[in-house]
Amino acid sequence: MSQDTKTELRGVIRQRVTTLPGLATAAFVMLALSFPYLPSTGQFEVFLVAQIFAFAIAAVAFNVLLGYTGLLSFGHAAFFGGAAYAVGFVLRYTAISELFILLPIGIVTAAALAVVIGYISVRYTEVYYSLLMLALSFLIYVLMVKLYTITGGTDGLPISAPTVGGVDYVALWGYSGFLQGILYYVIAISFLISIGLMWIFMNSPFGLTLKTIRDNPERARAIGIPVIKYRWYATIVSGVFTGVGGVMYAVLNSHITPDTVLHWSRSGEFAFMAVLGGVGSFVGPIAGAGAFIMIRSQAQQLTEYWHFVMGAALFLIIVLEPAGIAGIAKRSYRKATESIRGDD
Amino acid sequence: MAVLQTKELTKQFGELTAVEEVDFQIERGEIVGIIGPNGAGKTTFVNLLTGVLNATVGDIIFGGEPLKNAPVHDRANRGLVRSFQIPQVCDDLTLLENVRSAILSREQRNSSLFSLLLWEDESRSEAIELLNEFGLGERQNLSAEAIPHGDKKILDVCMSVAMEPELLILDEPTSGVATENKHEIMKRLRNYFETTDSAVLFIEHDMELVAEYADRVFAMDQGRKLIDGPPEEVLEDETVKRRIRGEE
Repeated sequence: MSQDTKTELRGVIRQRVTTLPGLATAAFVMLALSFPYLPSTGQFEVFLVAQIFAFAIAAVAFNVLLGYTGLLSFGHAAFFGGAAYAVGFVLRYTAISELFILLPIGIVTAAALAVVIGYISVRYTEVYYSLLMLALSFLIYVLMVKLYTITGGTDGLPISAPTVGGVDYVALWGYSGFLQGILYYVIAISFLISIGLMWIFMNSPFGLTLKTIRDNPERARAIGIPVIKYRWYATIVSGVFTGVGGVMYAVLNSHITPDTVLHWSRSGEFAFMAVLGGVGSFVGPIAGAGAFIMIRSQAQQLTEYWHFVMGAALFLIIVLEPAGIAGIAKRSYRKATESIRGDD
Repeated sequence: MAVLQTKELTKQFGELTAVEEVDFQIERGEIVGIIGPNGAGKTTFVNLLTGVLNATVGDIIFGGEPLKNAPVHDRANRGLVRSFQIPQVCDDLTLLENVRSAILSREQRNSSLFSLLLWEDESRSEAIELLNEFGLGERQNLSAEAIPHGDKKILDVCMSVAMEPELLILDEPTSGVATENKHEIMKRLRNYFETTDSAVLFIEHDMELVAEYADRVFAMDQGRKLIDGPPEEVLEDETVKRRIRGEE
């Protein structure tokens, strides 16, 4: 690379970063990384935000299919729970307890499941795809419940705190120190890397290919895109990152059961988060995951009928703002800039 | 050399024979118009060529190789590209993205995960150039749903052209387009293909357009070839006059 193109590239990067989305991203990253050390942040808040990050990875991954490829999966619990259970099995049946080994094992498991389940499901579209994904993921749920001598059945599996880089931080700092000093950062950084990678994928030719398929499969074929193959690839990419979310959830929660990670309602929650945040926007599902976890945590403290509160929230967003939280944000931003321009 | 050739191409739907033993060929650089009354089997014939349907009997030789039952996308990648009668574009994408998607696909870069489109100029400039050539350049950043039907039709053709086809098949390229714009589309196409040696095959009902833009006319009736030859000869043929042009 010559000096000129380097300066040019630097100029381009500077231009990109100093736009509003660039600044917002930078602010978000800094807030995420300093969060445990902010005044008034306690163990509960750190746990809650880490949980949001874990779910946000899965929600954005889910939206790679729904928003970008036009496929509604009701089987994402299989990838989320599959990765979580892989971690659980390794902890139970081997002496391995190193996070940097557990994470790749979880990812590979999610990828393998997505390869197989996706291969079967992408032959169909619309409701048939959704239901086939649902059926295949339910199969895994039932297996985990029924093979209880191996899987722990409905009691699930304990997830003991892993070592990170070979160091047992729980023994050194206690659980609270481990959560706030290490685990939170592992999850936050996994979140940032996963979101960054997916953003690059969706803004590369691969993402444009998926959007072409979403908008018009017939046209996609006519310009030489093997539609079924790319729906499959999208399912695999989505499944892999959903698996990252699943591993993070498992390690954070210290315990997994078929009902918490593999049940079909978990797949429904990803759909909920994506729609709440806005499927037409890349970052929408992150806001959706955040709003979902916050609303649920507040509602659970208020009433035992918290499901009702969640249902009402989803109902309102679909009726009033189908573009989700991202839609509201975009509109307020436009209004704000208009009123600023109006002042001139 | 023939770009494409069919031998006794036949398609049956149950009892109905939509296309019957059609022998057809098209040379490099040739522009051929297909005409025929409604139900003559023109669209079925085109669907057989592009792989939307598979032939009951017969084969299609493209670029010297039999196509067998190669799927639509495979044929498109080999250079056998079609446009649609009802324009098929991606409504939520901008005109630029629509054309760019076709260019990236032609370059077999669909699976590229790590090349941000923001920073990639080659396919962007090529797409802009093409849009300019077809008169859509100024609206490159509009989403496709925001442009009128006639322009969508041009965008549809533009996406097909972006594939740099060996053979471009146009299914009624001017249907639904205002009369005064029909010539514009055809002229832009002719200008574009004058610089290449690609072949163009188009279905058309407007005999004036056929007479003006086709090097050769292939007339079909009841699933069969009626007559094949230069426009002045085919259009003056008595059966064509009676069956297709509706003259007594």
